[in-house]
Amino acid sequence: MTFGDKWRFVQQNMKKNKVRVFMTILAAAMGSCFLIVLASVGFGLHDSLIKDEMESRAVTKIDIYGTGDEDQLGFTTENIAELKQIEDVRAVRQIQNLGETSFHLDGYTNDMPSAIAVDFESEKQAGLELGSGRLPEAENEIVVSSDFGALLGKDGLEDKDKYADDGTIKSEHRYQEDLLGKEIELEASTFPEDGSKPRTATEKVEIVGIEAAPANEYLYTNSVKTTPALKNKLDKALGVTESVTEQGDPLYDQAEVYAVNAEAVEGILTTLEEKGYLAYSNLEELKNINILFNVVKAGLIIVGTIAVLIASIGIYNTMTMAVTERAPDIGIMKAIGANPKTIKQIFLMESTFIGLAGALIGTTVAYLISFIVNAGVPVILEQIFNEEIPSTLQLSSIPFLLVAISITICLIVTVLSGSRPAKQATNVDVLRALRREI
Amino acid sequence: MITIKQVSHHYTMGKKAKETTVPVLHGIDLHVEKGEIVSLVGKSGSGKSTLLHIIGGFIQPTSGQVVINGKTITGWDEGKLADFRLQHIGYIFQNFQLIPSMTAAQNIELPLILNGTAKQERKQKVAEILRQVELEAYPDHYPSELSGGQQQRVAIARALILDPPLILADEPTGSLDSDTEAELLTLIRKLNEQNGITFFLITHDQEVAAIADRQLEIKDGQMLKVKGVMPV
Repeated sequence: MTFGDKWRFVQQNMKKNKVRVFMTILAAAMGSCFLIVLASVGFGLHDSLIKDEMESRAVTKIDIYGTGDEDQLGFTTENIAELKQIEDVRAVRQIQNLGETSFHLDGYTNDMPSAIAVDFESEKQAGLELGSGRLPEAENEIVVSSDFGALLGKDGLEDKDKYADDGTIKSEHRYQEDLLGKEIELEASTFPEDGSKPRTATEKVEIVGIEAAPANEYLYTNSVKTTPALKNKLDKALGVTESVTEQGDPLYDQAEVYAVNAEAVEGILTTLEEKGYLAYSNLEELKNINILFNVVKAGLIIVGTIAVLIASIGIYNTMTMAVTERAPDIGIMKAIGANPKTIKQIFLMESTFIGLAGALIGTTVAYLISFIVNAGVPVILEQIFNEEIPSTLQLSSIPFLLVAISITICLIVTVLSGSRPAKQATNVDVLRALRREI
Repeated sequence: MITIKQVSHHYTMGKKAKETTVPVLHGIDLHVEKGEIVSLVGKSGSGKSTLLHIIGGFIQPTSGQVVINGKTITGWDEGKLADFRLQHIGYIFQNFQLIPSMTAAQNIELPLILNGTAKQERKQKVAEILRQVELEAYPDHYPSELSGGQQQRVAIARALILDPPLILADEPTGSLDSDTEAELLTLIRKLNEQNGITFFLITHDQEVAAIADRQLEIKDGQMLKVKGVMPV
C-alpha cells in the first residue's frame, strides 16, 4: 500500500469525525502553544541578559588583578611584555591611575572622572573608538569619554540645585559647548600616608579626542585618558614615587588582556593561571548565567511538556474511539488481506498528523502571543510603574531551537499516545469484527 | 489447490483456571483440485465455518496441516497470512461485509490499494470487473443504496479483482432471495468455467451445494459422506 493511499485513508477517517479530530488538534495546539510561550520567557530573559552583558562589557576582556608576587603592587613592564607574548592575546592594556583629579573649564568642573595614563597604541588594539578628534600625540593631550561633558557642571552651586534626582547634573548647569580642541585645567591631588599636608598640581591639557558613546545607553562613563609622560610630570610635581619600581621603571596599577575571540579566553585564562597571575573574565560570568538560564529553560520546557501530555490524553482517547468505531472496517480489511503493519501505520499516521497539526498551529499562535507580549507588556509596565523599560529587555523570545524542541516533544508524545490504539487496531480479531462483536 | 491433513481443532472457553475445551473438528482430511467447485454442507455447529476459517487462515488449527496452492500455511504469523490471503484467496461472506462508507467501486478497489497497484491500473480493473458482474451502472453507489444481490456481486467483484486462484465462500446466498440466489450461482459457475477459479463454499442449502462438482458433508466435526469424486 503506497503512502498516498494510506494518507487518503487517514483523510477519509478524519472526515468521518471532523469535530472530534478538530477538538483533539485544538488540545494539542494549546499544549504546544503553552510549552513554547512558557519557555520563551526563559529564552527572552536569557537573550536580554546576554545582550546587555555583551553591550556593556567586552567578553574578550580578561582583568588581571594580581601577580604571583604578593610583595609587588602593580605590574612591571616585564609583566606586560610577558602578557603580550601569550598565545591568542590581541592586546594588553597597561593602566596607571592619576589618583584624585578634577578638571576645570570656563567656570565648570568635572569632579570625579576616572583619570588614567595609557599606551594609546595598546588602547587602539584593545578596541578604543573615537567619536570625534584624534588620539593624543603630545604630552599634554587627553581623550575624554562621551559623557565627560555632561558631568562638567557649573561651579559655585549647591548640590541640590546642581544635581537632578538621578544623580546627573541638571541640563541647564551642564557645559554646553563642544569640548573638542578646548584647553582644560587638570588638578591632581595626593594625600600622603604619613599625614603630611595634601599636595596639588595643575596642568593645562588639551582635549584632542572624544570617545564614541558606549552601545548601552544606560552606561555612564566619566573617564579621561592621557599619556604616561603627563603622569610622570604630575608625579614629579606631587612627589609621588609609587608609580615606579626601585629601578625606575614604570609600575602599572591595572592590566587588562584582550583575547582575539571569545573562544580563546579559556585558553588564555589557563596560561595566566600557570604563570601565576590572578585573572577574571566576564565570560565566566556569562557561563554562569548560561548554566543558570539553561536550567531555568529546561525546567520551563518540562512544565510545558505536562500540558502536551495532558493533550496527549485527548489524542489517546480520540484514537481509541476511532479504533473501536472502525473495528468492523478493520476486520473487513484484514479479512481481504490488509497486513496488520499497514493498519498500524494508518492509525499512527493519523495520530502523528493530529500532533503535527497541533504543534504547527500552537507554534503559530505562540509567535503571535510572543509578539504581543514583547510589544504590549513593556507599555503596560511603563504605565504601572512609571519607569522606562530598557530597550534591550525582551520578555519572550522563540528561537528555532525552541520550535524544534516543541515539535519534537509534541510528535513523540502524540506518536506514543497513538501507538497503543494503533496496536489495538492490529489486534482486532477478524472473525469477531465481522460478526460485529467488537 | 487445498490439502488438509489430519486437522483437528478445539475452542477454549471460560475464564482462567475454569477453562473448558470444546472440540469442533476431528482429524479432517480433504483435498480440493484446482478448478473444482466443492461445497461443504452441514448443520449449524457441525464445524463447517471453523474449517473454512482454518483454510482462510483466520484460525490456526490445534493440530494438523493446511496446504493452499502448494504453501503450508499452518504456523504462519498474522502478517504473512494476510499477505498470502491478499494474493491467493478471495473471500465471499454471507453478509457481504462491504465497508459502508465506501462506494461500490471503492470497495472493489480495496484489494488493489492494499496490493500497491497504480491508480490508473486500478481504475481500469475496477471498470472491467464492474462490467463482468453487471454493475457498471452503480460504481458510485454506497452499499446501503444497493440491493442484497447487487451487494453480493460487489463482494464477488472485490474477491475477484486480484485474480486469486481460490475463492472461499461462506454461505454466499444466505442473505439472498431465491431469484437472486439463482443469478449468483450462475455467476459462480460462469467464473469457474471461464477463469478456472477454484471455489470452496460452505452452505446448509442443498440447492446451493448442488452446483458443486463435489459435495462434502460434515457432522459433529467429522466428514460424513461424499457425492462426486473424492480425490483423496
